Amino acid sequence: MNNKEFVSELSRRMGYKNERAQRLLSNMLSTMGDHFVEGDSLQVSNFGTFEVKKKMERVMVNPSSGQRMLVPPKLVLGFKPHQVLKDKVKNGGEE
Amino acid sequence: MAKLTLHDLANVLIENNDLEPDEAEKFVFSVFDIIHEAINKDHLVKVKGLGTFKVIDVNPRESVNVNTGERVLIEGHSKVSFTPDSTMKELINKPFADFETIVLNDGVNFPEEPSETLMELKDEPDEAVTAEPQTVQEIPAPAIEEQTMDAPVETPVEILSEAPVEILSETPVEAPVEIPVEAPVETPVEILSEAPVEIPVETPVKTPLKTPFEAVVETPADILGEPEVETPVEEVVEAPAEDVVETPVEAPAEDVVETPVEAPAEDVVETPVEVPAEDVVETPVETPAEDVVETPVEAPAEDVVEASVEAPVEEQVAEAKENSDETGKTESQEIPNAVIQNIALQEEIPYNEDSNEKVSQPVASSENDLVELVQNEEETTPEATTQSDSFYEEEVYMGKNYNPSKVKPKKTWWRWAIAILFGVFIGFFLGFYLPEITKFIEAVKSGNFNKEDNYNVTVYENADLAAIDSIAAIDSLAAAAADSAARDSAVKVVADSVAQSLQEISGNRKTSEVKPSDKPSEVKPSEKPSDAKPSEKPSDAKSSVKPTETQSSVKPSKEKSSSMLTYLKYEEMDSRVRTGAYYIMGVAKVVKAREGDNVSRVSRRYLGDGMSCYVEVLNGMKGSDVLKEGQEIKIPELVLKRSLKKNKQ
Repeated sequence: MNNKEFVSELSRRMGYKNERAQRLLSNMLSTMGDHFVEGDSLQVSNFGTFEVKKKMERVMVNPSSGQRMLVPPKLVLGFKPHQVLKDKVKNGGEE
Repeated sequence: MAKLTLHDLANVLIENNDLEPDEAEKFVFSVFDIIHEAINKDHLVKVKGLGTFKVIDVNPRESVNVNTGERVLIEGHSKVSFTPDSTMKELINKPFADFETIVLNDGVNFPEEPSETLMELKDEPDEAVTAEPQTVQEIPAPAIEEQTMDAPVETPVEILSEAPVEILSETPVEAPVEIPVEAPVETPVEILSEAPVEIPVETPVKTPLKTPFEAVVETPADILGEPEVETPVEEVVEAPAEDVVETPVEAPAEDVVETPVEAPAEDVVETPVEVPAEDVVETPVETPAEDVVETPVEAPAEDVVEASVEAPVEEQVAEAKENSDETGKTESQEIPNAVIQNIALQEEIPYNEDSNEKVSQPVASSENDLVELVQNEEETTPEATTQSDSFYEEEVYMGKNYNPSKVKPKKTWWRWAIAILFGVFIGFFLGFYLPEITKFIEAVKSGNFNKEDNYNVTVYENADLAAIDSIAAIDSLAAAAADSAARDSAVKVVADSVAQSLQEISGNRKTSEVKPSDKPSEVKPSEKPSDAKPSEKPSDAKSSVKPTETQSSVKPSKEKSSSMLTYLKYEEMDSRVRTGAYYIMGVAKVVKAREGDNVSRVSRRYLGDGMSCYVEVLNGMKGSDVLKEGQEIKIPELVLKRSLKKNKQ
């Protein structure tokens, strides 16, 4: 399912037009982003947790050239699926 | 670090979009419900601005139960992966966005790489050497005559042993003997002579050569170790000769042919041999290799011829070996400058050549005419043969001990080391003596011209500048410069008492010389410096100049120095003048400052932009000094340094 399908499905469920659904969605995601930037985590029941994690700097070696690179630290948004979702997926989805 | 819930999101939506609370909450929930369902159904959901949820398969893997230590097989399954959208990723990583991946310079890598290359080089030469012997063996096989072969065989064996040291084979002994007899003689000889000179070759023959080469090398080496022993050689040759010759020769020949050349054994042998020889020769030795190669070749040829003759063969062979040894020795002797190792390499090469030559000679003998040729060669190279025996043994040992390849690198290394040492010595001496020289010059100057510091300075500078000039040219130039300077100074400065003192001193040149010096003095305080100079320097300006000249060995500049004294003094006063394009040769004119003028403005008015330093120096002022109305400012007469230098030359 791509973004287009996602939005159309969302608008269908909500009875909105696509533009409105898209606008609300982007609005929601931007607020989520704002919170993530501040280090907040988002917990969605029965779905999972979005959390910002810090990856420390590290030395990376290019396997082909042997070149060593210092990779800077960075912040990454991680998603940890809820146990319910995990189980569902583990069993092949659907169900 | 607060935990955010969907209710919080819904509240934000309510505020921003005037949604009903229920509606907003429903919207938020539905968003994640749809994602949830889509994950299960499509295994892939892309949400712009958030990211991609994807179901990925995990392969089954073994693990260990931490508590019991049992091995557990974790079955393959699926899990959800989330990859944040690029916009979301950048937004979150904003605090660290400025960091970039840096390539680390690893110093450790550099030493390792060169060493590897060196190793490769070493290996290659060895291989090349081995290759040569192989070719030789091949050649003999076809033509092979046991008797003739005996003599040649020995020599080739030696060669092989030397070069290939590493390669050892038990059976090969016989084979090598056979090999030398026929084909080897012709091609090998050529190869040897060529090879030593060029040396560098490496890989081409490597693999094929190795096997045959090895066998040959081992046994021959032993035999060679006792080069003089005629009987042993014969025995070996006889017994193995036929049987051994056949088998070994064939095998090596095939191998060689495949890799290096093409079809025919003889022809093939020749070409391959040449190639390897060239390679080997190039890297290790240079000039010595060539010389050595030539002589040894001849000697071996002679030996071979003898061997071909028949009865004497063995003895001849021995001689040939000796000769080869001698040649090798001579080569080694020539080379010795570099290093013992290098010598060893060279020796190895010569042996190879010798063996080749020997082979060729026998072949010739078989052809009748060849023997004569060999004799001729012997005549040419008799010297080498006489020397041989002891040398031969030495060479053999050397060959065993040292690999040519190793030696080669060392040679280059030594040369570099010597060059570097030489450079260091030169630098050391320069650094050591320069101060002394300058001190000496200063001492002389101070002794002669203590009173005038400026003069001393000028002398130094003149010495440096004048080093190239001839005395006569300098004198004339100096005179001219002095005259011009004198005129200028005279016309302008005459008013000053300095001019008078100078005139009193008399002598046109003297006056001219004095004048320049006077000018500076005027600029500063008063006439004293000018007076001092004349008095010190007896009557003639030249005489005064001379001392400086003798000191620095820059006589020509002496007279110049008098005229140059002035501008040199100015240069000493200001680095801008020293590095500028002009010399201050005197005072061009004296102007009166206008109201509100400063030095730099005046200089700009008369000389243009960027020339204020000359005015400043001449007047002993700073560019920012404000001038009173009517104050006299001297404008310098400037001469392009370049033009002055041209005149000198």
